[in-house]
Amino acid sequence: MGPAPEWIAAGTPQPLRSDLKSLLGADRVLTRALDLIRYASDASPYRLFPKAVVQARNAGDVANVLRYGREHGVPVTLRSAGTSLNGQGQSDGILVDVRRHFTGVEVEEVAPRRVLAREPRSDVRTGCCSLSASASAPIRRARTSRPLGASSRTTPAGCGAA
Amino acid sequence: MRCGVTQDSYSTVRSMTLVLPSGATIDTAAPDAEERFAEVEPELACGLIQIRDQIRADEPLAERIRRKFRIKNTMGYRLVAFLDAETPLEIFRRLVVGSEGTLAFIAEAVFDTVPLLPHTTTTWVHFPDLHATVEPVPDLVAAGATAVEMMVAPALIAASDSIPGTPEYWRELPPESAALLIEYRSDDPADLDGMEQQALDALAGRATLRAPEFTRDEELTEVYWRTREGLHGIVGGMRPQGTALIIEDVCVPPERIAESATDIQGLLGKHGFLPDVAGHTSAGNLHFMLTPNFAQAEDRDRYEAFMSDLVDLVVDKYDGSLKAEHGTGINMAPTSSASGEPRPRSSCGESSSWRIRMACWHRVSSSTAIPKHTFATSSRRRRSRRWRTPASNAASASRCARAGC
Repeated sequence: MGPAPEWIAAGTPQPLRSDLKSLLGADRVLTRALDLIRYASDASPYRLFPKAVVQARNAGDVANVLRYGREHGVPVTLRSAGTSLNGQGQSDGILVDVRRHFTGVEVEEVAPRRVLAREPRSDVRTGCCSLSASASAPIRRARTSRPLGASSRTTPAGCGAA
Repeated sequence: MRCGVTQDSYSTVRSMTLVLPSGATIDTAAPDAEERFAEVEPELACGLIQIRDQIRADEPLAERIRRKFRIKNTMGYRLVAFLDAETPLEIFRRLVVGSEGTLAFIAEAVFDTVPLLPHTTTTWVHFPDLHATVEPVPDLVAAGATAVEMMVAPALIAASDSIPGTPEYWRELPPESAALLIEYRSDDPADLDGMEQQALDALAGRATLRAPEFTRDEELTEVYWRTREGLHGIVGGMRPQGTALIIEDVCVPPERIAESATDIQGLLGKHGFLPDVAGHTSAGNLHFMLTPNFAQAEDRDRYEAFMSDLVDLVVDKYDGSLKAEHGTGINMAPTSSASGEPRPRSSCGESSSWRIRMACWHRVSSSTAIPKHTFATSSRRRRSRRWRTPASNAASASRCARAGC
């Protein structure tokens, strides 16, 4: 693949740029050329340039983007905390970054113990890596499903990478 | 991952809060969750039941699906969900695991924990070649090992340079040799002596380069695992400037691990790739790295020719998985398509499973914008058009495996 396409220089095209900013708030939408190029790569050998990047803060933001995408025919792709070795987290539409604001782990203290992933409280949320989920458990005799042997960069939930 | 197929996300997640493509949000643990799912997604709920009944009415297909997911398999949707659950939402929440964002967004998840078994004893065992290394794996698994991982000597030699605390003798390992990392875990430290003996019994009479030296030291154990987990970065750091780093991730029935490791090593050599194979051998899961330079037409052809041979080998000879744990993505979507391929490849290796996958996706996406390009494209050319060609690999970036670096 060659250099970035020319449209990138102007950042997110209109009306997508103003639509997303009014839908979600300007602080949750990344539209600069720099942002689109930064989010075009993952741990895979592929590269796709998103038209816009949304940093979702809660499930409501994700729901709003999905509704918008459906109404306007724009593909929506989620990027959670996995490595995306095979290019799962790449988009040529709207890329929704759920790593930044979906972090944290909460361990239930009642038997049978469970690890929770709840938003907006603090628990295994989608941006959270499995190793930190295991490590933060305040109990010594239990672990989550992606234990020691899992890469510190795998994710237990999110878009269900594995 | 060492969780196998019994302690993975699919098996331990109890409930989820899902944001559906329509924007509706459902907590699968809520008492009225099924009713609400049927209310907000009536066509999807109905479609899932139709697919369920279609699979269950076809016993050979149902059995084939069960068999394909008895080993690690992240190709396409986990179709065994249609056999594991009865109701639309219970089927759907299982399908969502591994769906790579093509079915729903998981806003919250609740997992059951599994026992940690905090006491461990761990050793490397070195063998003269790859085949000799992988051969005892089934016996070691039968002897109760909780992990049996494999690495080849060149990777261990490289690790001895980059990872502090690795054994001195690694520097002198014969390059064609390979090693197993064997771990036993227990709740009770008194069990560990017996476990070590079981491993030694399983290894008796085999040609090892050194006598196994078990360690229960936490720090050294950590170094061992850091080495195993650092493989991607080690190879990434060694690769030539300008090349891509692709990690492959196949799975075969665990009892055929030795034969398949030798076959894959042969295939890598035939196409001029480094014949270094590693893996979670106890699960039948092998990894190897490809470092083609996609700026060169010759390398693009070499890569596609290798992948074509690999698909034939893994699917036809071993009835295995083309991706055990790394997911489908752009990488494997073309090999699972029904169009443009002489023989459709999919999580079941049959066109029927491809049709089921597309039926699932269409049920969800007919009125939505969830993209299929990363998961269910029918075009191999689309994959090759998306290759990036790094101009140079900065030392730090070469070792980096984090998405978005």
